[in-house]
Amino acid sequence: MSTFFGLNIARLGMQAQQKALEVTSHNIANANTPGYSRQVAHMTPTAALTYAQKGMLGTGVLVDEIARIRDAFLDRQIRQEQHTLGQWKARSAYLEQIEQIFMEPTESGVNAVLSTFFDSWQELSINPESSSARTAVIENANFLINTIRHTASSLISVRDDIRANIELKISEVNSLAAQISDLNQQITNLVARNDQPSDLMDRRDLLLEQLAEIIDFDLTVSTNGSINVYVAGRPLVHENISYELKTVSGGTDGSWTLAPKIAWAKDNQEVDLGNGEIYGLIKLHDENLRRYLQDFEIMAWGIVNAVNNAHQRGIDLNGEAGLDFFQGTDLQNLRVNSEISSDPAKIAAALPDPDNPSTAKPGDGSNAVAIAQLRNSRFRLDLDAPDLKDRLVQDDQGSTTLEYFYRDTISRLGVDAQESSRMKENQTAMLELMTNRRLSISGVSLDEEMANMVQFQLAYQAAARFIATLDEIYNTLINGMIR
Amino acid sequence: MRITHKLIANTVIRNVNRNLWRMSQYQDMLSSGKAITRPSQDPVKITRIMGYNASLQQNEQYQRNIDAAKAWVETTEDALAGINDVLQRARELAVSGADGSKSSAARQAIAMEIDELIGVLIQMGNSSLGGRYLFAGHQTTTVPFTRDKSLLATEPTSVVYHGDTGALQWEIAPNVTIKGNIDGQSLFVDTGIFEHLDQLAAALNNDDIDAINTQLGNISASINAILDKRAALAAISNGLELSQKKTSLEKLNITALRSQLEDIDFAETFMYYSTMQTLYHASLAAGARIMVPSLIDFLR
Repeated sequence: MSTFFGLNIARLGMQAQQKALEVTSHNIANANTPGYSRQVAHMTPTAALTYAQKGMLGTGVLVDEIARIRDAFLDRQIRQEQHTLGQWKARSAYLEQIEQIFMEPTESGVNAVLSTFFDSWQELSINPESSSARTAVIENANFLINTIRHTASSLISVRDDIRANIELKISEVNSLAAQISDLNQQITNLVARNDQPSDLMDRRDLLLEQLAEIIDFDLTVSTNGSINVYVAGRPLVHENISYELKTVSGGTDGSWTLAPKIAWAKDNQEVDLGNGEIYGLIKLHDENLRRYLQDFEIMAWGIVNAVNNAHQRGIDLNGEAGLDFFQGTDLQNLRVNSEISSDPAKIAAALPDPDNPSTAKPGDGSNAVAIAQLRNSRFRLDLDAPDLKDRLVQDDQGSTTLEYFYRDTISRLGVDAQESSRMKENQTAMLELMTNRRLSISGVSLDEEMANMVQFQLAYQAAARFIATLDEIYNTLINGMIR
Repeated sequence: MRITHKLIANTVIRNVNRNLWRMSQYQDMLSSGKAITRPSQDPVKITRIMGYNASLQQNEQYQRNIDAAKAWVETTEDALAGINDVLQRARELAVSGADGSKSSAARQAIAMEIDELIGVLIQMGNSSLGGRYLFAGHQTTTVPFTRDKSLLATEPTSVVYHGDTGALQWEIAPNVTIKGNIDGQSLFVDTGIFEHLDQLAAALNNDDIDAINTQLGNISASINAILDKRAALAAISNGLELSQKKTSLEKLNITALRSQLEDIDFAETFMYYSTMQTLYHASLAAGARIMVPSLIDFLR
């Protein structure tokens, strides 16, 4: 045992306390860094020496590990819940947008506009010879068509937006996977050198959480410190390699172009997702939005066909048979027959006299009444018809009306939007609880760090003081004893 | 549980946000007066509200239809009253013309007045409402009655009807239509009113007392026919009155039902709003107090 043994212990003490102070300082510096977990300098006494068979003599202290405080199980739970949150967050945001598009219940919604359209036929029936009542019918028909067209094209732009968003999310997944594999590389290198790269691991955990919201995955941790991510059983990240995903055309179902499918870039094999934001977007696109848009179109053609049929049964102010009231092959080019809009006298408000079918009957509004009564007429939904235009057919035995059919769509939208926003809120609340638990475990408490700082500072001062004391002792020993 | 500063900050922010969000919800309700503004708030209620909205719009249209039908029926009633007066006068004239002590000159004078009365009747037969001829059937834009005395050489009457027998229908409730017009064919042609008056004038001019008496009987029959039509119109008018009452009652009911579903209870909502406001301020104040102090403040 050397004379200067005590000096060494004091030096180790000062070094360890300083290291601990540095860790404290690092914790304080990162108190607000997202994903950061607090770190602790674990101090262990160095190997003790046997002291003349009378006991063991301590030799000082070393910081043997700077570890992060983290609950891996909680991390896994949080990622699980984040898959579900991602799914419902995506759905809820778009459903809210779709609700705004339908604008129910307001004066500008189809419900009110359709009502106004039929009312204008009533108005025409009580003044069939009035050209202002005729013009009003045309104006209200234009208003109805514009509302239908605007609603449909807004829904279509939501559809396109969802598709673009799926592409965007896939490139986000690829970028996250690349960053994770990159971090894997750095972490394995450091772990191989027996280091504990806490900050890199925090960053990797943060990336994994971002990824968890977009796509559902399983992960395994290797002993070399890397994390392997598996999507639907195949590796997205393996060690320091990431495998890219891409979108491929989803094909069509009937007249509906399905949402793009997700596939591995390497061999085009499709990926079957079960949760997460992309899954939510695909479901929303192919189930909810598809139904709203198609039902809306079915209803629009139901109106167009019923009005056209009824209109053809009538005669106009000149005694000529009614034309098609609406013209067009799809919702975007639908309009009031141009012959009628340029000559309102061609509106067939009267019904022909069976004996003199081509005698004009200016005062007869019975066909206008018949068209107005379409709002209460029964319709049958024929789901087997290949064309959306033929699905809603007028039928006295039918179970729905135009308005009921439309209201069903709105009610379905309401239920869907309500479900998704509730799910989103529940998930958010659950994640808040978990995040709080994690903050409680891994978060930086400034009070605690301050207390630690004082503690380490005092220990450092004491160790320094000890060196000063030893210095005096050596002074006595070296300079004072032999003269 | 270990409490960290980030945790406190998160909790404060979350609570302040939540309270502010709730406050904004109540503010929304107070400014719009509606408890439900989007389908997801209550999908079941929203379809009912939409149904009530459509029914109300329809109801207003039926009110307008009933008003239009009433105006038509009332104007027709006035015209029929006028026609009745003219026929009564014609009957009085016929009675005095049938008096054997009258001179030919006096009968000719009476015949001239009958001729005038035919003109007045044509005027009444051509009554219109808002540019639509009341007694023209479906030919509401064609003058229904014209007179051409030269026709008397071949025809029993000088008056020609240009309308048809079309019925004008008003829908006054879902799938309930009423016929509210009397066409000129049944009013004047089938009852032979013009024919009888023309013939009466001829008989007066010819001093043919038997013929005068025959036409006197015919005119009395016409007066009865007009009375029958007036009675029928009065029945329609009563029916419209009832429908109108029913429709406005329905409007009240639907409005009340809709209001129950979508309108807020102002006092209640305002109370909730104030409570939320207090909570919001409290969470702000608590946040301000809890977030400031730390051990740093007490270390020197």
